[in-house]
Amino acid sequence: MPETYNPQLGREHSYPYEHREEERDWHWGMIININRCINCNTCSFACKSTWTSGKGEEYMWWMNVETEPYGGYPMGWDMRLLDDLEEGETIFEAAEDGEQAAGYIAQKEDWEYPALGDDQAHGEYPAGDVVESDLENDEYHDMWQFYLPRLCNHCKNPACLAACPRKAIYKREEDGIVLLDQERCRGYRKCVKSCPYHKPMYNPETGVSEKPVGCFPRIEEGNVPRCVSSCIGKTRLHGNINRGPDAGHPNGNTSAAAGRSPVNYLAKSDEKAALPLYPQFGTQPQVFYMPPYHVPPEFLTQMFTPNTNEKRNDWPGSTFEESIKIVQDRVRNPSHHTLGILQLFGATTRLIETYTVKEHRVKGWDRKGDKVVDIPFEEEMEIREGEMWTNQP
Amino acid sequence: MTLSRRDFMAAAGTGAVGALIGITWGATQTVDSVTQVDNPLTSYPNRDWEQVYHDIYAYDEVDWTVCHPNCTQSCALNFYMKDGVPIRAEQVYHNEEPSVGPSGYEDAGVSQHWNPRGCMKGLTVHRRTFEPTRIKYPMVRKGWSPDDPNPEGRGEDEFERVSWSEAIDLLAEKMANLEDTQHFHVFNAIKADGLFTRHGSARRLASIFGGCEWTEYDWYADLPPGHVMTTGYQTSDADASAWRQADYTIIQGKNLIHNKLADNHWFQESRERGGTIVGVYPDYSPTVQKCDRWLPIRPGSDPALPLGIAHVIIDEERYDEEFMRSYTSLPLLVREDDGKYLRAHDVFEDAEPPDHGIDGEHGHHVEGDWGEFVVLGEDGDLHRVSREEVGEETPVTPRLEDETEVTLTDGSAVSIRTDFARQKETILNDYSPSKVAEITTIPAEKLRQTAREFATAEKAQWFTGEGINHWFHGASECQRGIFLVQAMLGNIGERGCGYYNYSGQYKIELLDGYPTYVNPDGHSARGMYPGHALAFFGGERLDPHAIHGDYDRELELVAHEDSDEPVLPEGTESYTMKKPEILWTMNCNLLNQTKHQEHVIENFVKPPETANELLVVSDMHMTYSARHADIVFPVHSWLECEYPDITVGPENPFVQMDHGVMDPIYDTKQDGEIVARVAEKLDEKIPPEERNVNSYREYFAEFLAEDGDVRTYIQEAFDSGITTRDIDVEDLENGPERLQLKTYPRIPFYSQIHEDRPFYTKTGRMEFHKEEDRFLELNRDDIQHFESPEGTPYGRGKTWKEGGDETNELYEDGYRFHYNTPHPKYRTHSSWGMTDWNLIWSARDFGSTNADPEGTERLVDDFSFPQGDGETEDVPPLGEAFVEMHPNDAEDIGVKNGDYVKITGDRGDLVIRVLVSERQRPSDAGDIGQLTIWHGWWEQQFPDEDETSDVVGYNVATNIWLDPLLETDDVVHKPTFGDPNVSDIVDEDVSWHGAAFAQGYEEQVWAPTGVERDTLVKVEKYEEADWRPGDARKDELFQDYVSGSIQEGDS
Repeated sequence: MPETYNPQLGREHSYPYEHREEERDWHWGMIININRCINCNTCSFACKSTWTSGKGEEYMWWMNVETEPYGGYPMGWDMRLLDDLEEGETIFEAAEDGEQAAGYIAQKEDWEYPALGDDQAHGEYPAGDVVESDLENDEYHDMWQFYLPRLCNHCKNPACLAACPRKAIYKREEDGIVLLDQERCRGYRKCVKSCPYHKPMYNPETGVSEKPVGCFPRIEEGNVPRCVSSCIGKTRLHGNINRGPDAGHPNGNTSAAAGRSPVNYLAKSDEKAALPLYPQFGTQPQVFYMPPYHVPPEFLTQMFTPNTNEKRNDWPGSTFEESIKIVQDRVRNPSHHTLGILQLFGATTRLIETYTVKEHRVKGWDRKGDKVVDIPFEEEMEIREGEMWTNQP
Repeated sequence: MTLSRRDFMAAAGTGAVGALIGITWGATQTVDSVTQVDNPLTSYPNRDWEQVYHDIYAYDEVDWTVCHPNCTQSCALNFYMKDGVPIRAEQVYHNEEPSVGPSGYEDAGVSQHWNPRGCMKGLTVHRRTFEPTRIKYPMVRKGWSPDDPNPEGRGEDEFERVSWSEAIDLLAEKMANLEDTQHFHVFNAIKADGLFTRHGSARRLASIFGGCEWTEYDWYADLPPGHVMTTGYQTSDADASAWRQADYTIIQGKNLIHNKLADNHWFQESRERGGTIVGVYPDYSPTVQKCDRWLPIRPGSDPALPLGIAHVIIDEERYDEEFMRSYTSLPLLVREDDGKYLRAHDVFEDAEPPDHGIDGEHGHHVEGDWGEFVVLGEDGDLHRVSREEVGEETPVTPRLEDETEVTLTDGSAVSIRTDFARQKETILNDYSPSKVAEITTIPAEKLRQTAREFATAEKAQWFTGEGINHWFHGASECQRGIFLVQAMLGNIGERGCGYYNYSGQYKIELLDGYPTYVNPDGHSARGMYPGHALAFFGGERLDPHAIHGDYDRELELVAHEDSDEPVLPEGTESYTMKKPEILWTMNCNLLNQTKHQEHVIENFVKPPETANELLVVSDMHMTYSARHADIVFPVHSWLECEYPDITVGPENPFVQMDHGVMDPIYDTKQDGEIVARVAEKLDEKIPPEERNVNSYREYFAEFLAEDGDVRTYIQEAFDSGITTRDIDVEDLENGPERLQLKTYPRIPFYSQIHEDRPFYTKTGRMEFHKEEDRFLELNRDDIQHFESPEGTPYGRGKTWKEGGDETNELYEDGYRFHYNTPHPKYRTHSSWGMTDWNLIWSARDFGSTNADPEGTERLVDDFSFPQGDGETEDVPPLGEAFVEMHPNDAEDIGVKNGDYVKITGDRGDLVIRVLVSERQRPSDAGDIGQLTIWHGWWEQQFPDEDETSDVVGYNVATNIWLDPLLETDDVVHKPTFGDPNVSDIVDEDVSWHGAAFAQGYEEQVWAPTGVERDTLVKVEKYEEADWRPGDARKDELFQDYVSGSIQEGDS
């Protein structure tokens, strides 16, 4: 089996297919700022109303928000898989003979309660005390919860793709979106079993499996996915995760900024502020989360780092737990540049390819090089001239 | 067209949701050889199939409208249409594809920071439209007839389908036969949505007909009267875009992230800009996760908290003297003998007393003449200060603290103190952080730290909401205390500073031309005084000086006749004392949402003695209220409406117009058209000489005429309002516009602070000491903390000093839980309560796509909805109501997650499932626990095992309290429409030109807010669960998971 280098782990591991020699020019990627998420599930409803409102799809929430630590759709999905994996082992390395990836098929009752644990918190009621966090002094909430939006990661090492015996799942050349060919699929459910994020789902009406489509009809038109454009919490930014600092002007349009995309900056720059969910699975997921800064870093280390003792990748800090703390601080106290990028979240339906952050203003350009965001850091205060105006009419 | 709608319903309607049941989950056995694909990671040969998803995504056209339930936010949404049916909704952005509908908010002159708006409820408006609970045609209750209303049958009788003309004729006939038109009442919960072609038209009809109107404030207690006491202004809320300027935020009892979904980001963004958020809640409210610090508070002890903060600010002299002198009553002198503010004519021979005496005449449009006030200058002399002399116009530098004796003009001597000296004494003596820690259970050092940080912040804001306003003293003392803190720190009148509530859709004042429409030609419906409503329901003559609501459930209640004289208040003409013989509700689910529900059903809705002869309900859905109606009028959804309408809201600066995107699917009409047809019928039935106006029809002609255009009404109202006069109604078809206000973002009291305009109080200042007799009688003239009249372990209704050592006998009897009913996020009140996806999510652990088979069978029965002629419509069971309870308390009574408990209150019982929940306050945390039931469940979502009462729902254990402090007409305030400070400057064609102050009752501003939920309950096990939801998080593995050691534990 070919080996592939996984930068999220900082090492090579096996994967059934050879990667292309060069990274794609353009790859679907997403940033989610968990701190802004309010669990309204508008993203979930947006996705469902767009893609899975048909027969046999009643239980399917391609996009869902779970309340950590009590939520889980399907129930207990991550706990179970984490328990089955040896430390430092990807699902590909842990696969049993004859299979491509370790996993399990969630049962019907596991899918039954998409809102299980919704809004619940974990910890002891602070009788006679308070709950507070103070990052400078390593203090975090000892009673906590946070909201974890979950969706298909359009992984660079997709387990669903690896596992499909019919090769009915593929990665699109132009944008990296992982699709499941509805005509070719025969419903073996190997993808359902192997995806550690449990996003391929079986449709008992049609007899074939389905998986999230990354809103490709929207991406093709230069718009962001529904879960991003619908996000009233402004938690999300979508774009070209592969566009690095050396990239030129989009579409050769010199009036647009050259250089990296805003999602690339948050996920891959030296000021990295967003991390992948369970990188230890080895699938190279392309949704990156800005971690909740009030939550104890031990838990987040398990969730957002390779969770090995030896730190091999390029994340900040000498240990993974330290990396988490540094990133938490970057999210709680963002630099001016990061704060500028945060203004791009939810500002436009258009897919932002490049951007600039100036002292008082943030701008963004789409893939054609057209300016699609031009936004001040502050709403400009307006005071109407004339004595008859009142703020309370 | 019709066919494709049916197709849509089959594919996407709720009927399909149960389809998983019984279908095997085995994979198909088909096996094809695998060929052709080489490396699917790099390329794929045949991608034509991708068209499948392009087809699913495809739409024919896009149309837009505005979703505007009583969440107060109002969000424009694009609806994507296929074959005339909306297949999905999307948020609009600034003039962007694929938002081919409205311009978005760009044309309203705001930045892209306002994008996007519209939550998961907006995204299921189309599913709600196609829901089986829809009422499909007009109906009349079989047991009702015009001569024999037979109210005992309400809620039980079957319905009969009737034609529209028959239904309208029945109502008009009844109206025409009323002996006194004031017996015609509409309840439309004045909300700043549906203003012209929905419930606003009912107000217009009530006005010209001579009827009455009940409003949300009077009934539901949303608004914060402490704001009126302090500032004379209804509610001081800013545009949401101002929130993120704050360096420090205290948010108390408000679950903002879930109740202001579209606007919450402005609040959260304050943290990224260096701000700190401190939350004060009894439970781990979802908003707590956004807070840097959570101060867990004993429920109901909230008024003590701002006093504890004030203590630190005063004790450590952290206050802003300049601000206090300029804009507050704190330097004004108060007489120690009678508690009144010292007036200039008390001490200066040459000062004239006010013309009509200090109390003046109550009512609207009183001249602001309450005498001049007196301060002690730095020079030690007395100086007069008029109510206009505020800010920099304050004539001298007054002393903040003094205590002395002055000689009155009649030669007698009287002791005086400044307002500040009075407040300071109480606060320093009784509300030290350690004392407040005793009261609230919040640690003293954290109170002190929070106070210091708050005082140090440059810009600090404070939120409360209905979680506080609905507590007995939360509605008054708590709010006054918060204002005191904000005034001492000068946190008023700037972006990122202030004290906000955002509770209710009350900001009708933002559309200040609105009276032109609802009160045409000088006709105005009378208000409904809730004290009076309670008299009907309570069957007793109310003593205006007593607390009302402390009834036990066995109380024998008899209906009242009309009162000749008002119970209270005195002297105002703007409300009614007439009982509702006809009550017509619209735009609200009154009987599901009313507090003390059993009382209301059994003493108002059902007994014949109430003489409530006709209950008319206009609704989209077969709600609990509609089931109790005599006549049911089915109305359109927002997607179907035929007439455009206007909406404004308290958190945003937009004026928006909605309009339908599809044809009605049933035999429904828009509220305004129903009203118009009733008006037309009244002309037929009432001879011209007996009418209040020449023709009732002519006031609704635009609804009825072939070439009518209701936008005429909207434009007329716009033209007469200063906030809208330059807005062309046709422009609203392309997207929202921005209201014309003094500032953007809107900042409460900007003019007071920056232009030295008086506040709307007698003193012209933020007023802390209250001199009105009722305040003095009740010992509430200065700000103090009082225990609840019921919801306390300690002395009921007492200050801590008096009652802190006492024990509430109810508490001793085992009533050890506060009953908490916060607003839900997947519903707005009860709306969307039966919309499939919303219900699955709102039922949490008990919501599922196909549920347990046994539970399913029972729930299918319960979820049926009566239609005309005995038909019913079944709805798939998707979720159940539940109560959240702390694990310690659950263990105490031996219940596990999913078991049923019985909750007993003094006013009613309910049986409900338990969700064991660590986020709740346990009863061993400071003596009192909390049970939480999200508000707005439908009757069908409760089990039917409860034999104790026919009345089922979460509101049987809530209460209606009346606070005598609010039952006075002495309080001065700004009227809803018009600003006395500039009323002579505005053009004469502005409808409120010349408006003066109001004193006393005014709907939506000052009234006894009839509903305070402050109640105690006890809880016991009722029955084991018949099925339980799965819960993978309870096994041993979870301990490793939650501590982050699951893999280490494994290796």
